[in-house]
Amino acid sequence: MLLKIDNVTKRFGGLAAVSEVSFELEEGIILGLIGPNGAGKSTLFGCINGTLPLSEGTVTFDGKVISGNKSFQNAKLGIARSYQIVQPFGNMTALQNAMVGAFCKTNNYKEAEQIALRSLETVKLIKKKDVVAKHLNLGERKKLEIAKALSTQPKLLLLDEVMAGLNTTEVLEMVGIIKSLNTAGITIIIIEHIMEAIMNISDRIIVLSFGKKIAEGSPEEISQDPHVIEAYFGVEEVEEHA
Amino acid sequence: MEQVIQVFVSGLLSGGIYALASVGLALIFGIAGLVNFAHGEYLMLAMYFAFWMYGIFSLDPYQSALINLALMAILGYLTYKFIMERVLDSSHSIQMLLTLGLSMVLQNLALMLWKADYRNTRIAMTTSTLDLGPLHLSTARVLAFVVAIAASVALYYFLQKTYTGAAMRAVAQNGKAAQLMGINLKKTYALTFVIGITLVGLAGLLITPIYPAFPTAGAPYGILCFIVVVIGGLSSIPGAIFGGLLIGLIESFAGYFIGPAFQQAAYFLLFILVLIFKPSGLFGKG
Amino acid sequence: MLKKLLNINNSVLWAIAFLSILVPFFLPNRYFQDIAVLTFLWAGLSSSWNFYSGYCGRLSIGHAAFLGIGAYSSTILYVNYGISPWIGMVIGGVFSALAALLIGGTTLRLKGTFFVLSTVAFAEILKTIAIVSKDLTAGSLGMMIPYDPSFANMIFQGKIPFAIITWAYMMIVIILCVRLEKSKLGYSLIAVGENQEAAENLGVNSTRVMLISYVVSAVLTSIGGTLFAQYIMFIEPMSLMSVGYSVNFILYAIAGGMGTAFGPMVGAFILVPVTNLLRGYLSFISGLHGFVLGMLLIIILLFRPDGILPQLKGFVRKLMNRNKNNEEKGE
Repeated sequence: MLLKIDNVTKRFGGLAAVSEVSFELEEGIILGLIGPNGAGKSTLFGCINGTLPLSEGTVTFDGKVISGNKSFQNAKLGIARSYQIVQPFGNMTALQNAMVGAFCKTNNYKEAEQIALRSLETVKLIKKKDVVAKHLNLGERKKLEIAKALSTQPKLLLLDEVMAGLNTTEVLEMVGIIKSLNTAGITIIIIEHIMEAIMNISDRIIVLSFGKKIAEGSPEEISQDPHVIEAYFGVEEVEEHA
Repeated sequence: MEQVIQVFVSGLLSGGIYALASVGLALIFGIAGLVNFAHGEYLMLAMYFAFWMYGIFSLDPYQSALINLALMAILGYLTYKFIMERVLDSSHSIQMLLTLGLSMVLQNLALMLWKADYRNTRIAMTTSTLDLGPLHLSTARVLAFVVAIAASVALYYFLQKTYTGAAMRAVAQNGKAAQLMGINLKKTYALTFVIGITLVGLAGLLITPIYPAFPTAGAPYGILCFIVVVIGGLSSIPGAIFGGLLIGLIESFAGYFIGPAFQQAAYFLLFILVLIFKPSGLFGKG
Repeated sequence: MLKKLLNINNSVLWAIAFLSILVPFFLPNRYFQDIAVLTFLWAGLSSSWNFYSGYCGRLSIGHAAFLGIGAYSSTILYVNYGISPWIGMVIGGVFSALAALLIGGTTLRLKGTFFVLSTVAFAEILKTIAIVSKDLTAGSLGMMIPYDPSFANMIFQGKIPFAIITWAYMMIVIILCVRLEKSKLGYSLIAVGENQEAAENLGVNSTRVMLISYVVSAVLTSIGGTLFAQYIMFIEPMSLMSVGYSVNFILYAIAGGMGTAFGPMVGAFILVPVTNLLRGYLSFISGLHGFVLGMLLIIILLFRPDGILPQLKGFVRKLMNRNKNNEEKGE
């Protein structure tokens, strides 16, 4: 078991953004994480990679409890994350951006450069390697976000809405990239709102609503689960008026 | 014991002025989020203006107050329009450096125009004293304190009870949301800045009968106001008032019990301790 | 091809840096040689500041504190105990490193303005310590270094020896910055400056990275402080450890281009001679020097916050392109 989330709760003030979520993740699969806006998906990512300290519960990765770790410690252990709102290092080139990630596992400049170049090739951004990041368009920035995370040579990759804002062609390309990453051995948890894409790639799906896990299963099971449908579309009510 | 009371009261009186100068910065920095490292220089300019009004027209600082404040308001507006507005969205680093440059410009402009000599404004009030029980106080300082506190409290009520004040507080909390509710962001920032500068100018003219005007007179106030605002909890006006009084007291006691060289160091030390242990300020929301 | 052009540009800058040592030898008199020494010294100090603040964008305006520690350490050891300033320089470096660890350890995690204010607060506290330790430092009267030229005393006849020493200092710091730019530390530092959270997500221990650079920056500044004290032969705390001095470092770095290895050098090479000549010829207008510096800071920040180096590079690149085009046309 690569990742074990045990009763994780994250509160902000009085509000529990994530509430008693538990699941297990084997190595090598793609787990899809879906749910309406504000369900706590990104917050859960923060809890897993260490950006957010947990209010309750434990996270175990590769046999080690990592609940108190900072995100840079977890990055060294093999958890990498991309952000929903992409945050490239604007004044560095794409290659330099990726190299920052590459330095996670090496101190050697040449080696970091090689790793970074390979990452850029994987996400098909190699042609833009010397372009300053702030001049890249949205699709390219999304790819760069993945390349940065990829350069840290992670075992577990957390992808947060990498397809948001992309056109159909770009989405298809991204699906291909993600599948190839998985084939290369990286375990992936992916948050996405584009249903066809996520149902297509995921081996398993977890659904969050208002911070709680309301369903877990294969894509087919999930698409027919009444709780999931209710969470997204609400319940049909017949009201009687006096 | 009498000495201690005297030291206490003296610190309190200075603290009042610090409070007034600082509520101006609490508005500008705490509420509008604008960093202005030239804050103290406006105090210096108000002092010079009061000095010249007396020298040329024989109007004492209280008589020339209205014109002085009007001038401060204009200066505040010009500073906002030509400098701060351009860097509203820039990083604080840029605002810091920019206003640091501004403070150098203003200090050296004063030096070039009026030389480094200490300019004392001696009016009747300067030497008049009050005897309250065991205390022997300078009337000018007491008057300065009373006006300073009154103005600071007035500012607080302005923010709490008026529409404009509410608009300012809304902008402080969430500029975009405030805009969506119809509040003109730029005008609000401008007004905040103008009021802040006018208040620090008021502080300047109040101390003109007491202290001399010279080009670097405002410099200690500049950093001091930031310290007060941080200790008081950034956007809190009552915090700034109490912070100012506290700093006045610390300065006074440190000077008396340890030595005059330690006055500033004492409150700088408090500042660092607050930053490390309670960065939201002594009076701020935790 | 872009890479080659950038390398050519850097070659130009390297050439300027190396060849600048020749300048003092061609200057007509000691007045101009003095300006050359100060130029190299400020270039070195500014580059030292740049090593931390330039690359990660966290402004330390209390850096003059390290200047003071270096200056006072070597001066006290020399004047009171007869220890060679070369050794005093190293000891001063150690003290600065310790101070930087203390200051950095407590304040580096503070955001933006709070960090800057805390650097000022620390500098002021150190200044107070210097003033009240009258037995050691003669307080606000300052300390004078008696004229007794010898290599061991780091006191020389004429300006040329110091021109060489300060030039070497500048070169060492610049070389360190260049090496930083192509290292893990440098990449991590710049990333932290751009986006601390994103950097941490990629495995960067931002606190450690910032602390290391801050300490190195402090030690380099401190070395400059010793050179400063030995050259001017008089130090006093009020001006030495003030924000005003710190602004000098910052101005040259910004003018030339913060966060670039050669930016501070370019800024210092242009501004130090200009402002010193101004001060020399217009000294009857007191305050003009400060006024001009302040205006420069304002103008640069409003209109050219990246400094002039990117523009210079662009200009040189255009020249190169024109030459290449001419060659291709067979002229």
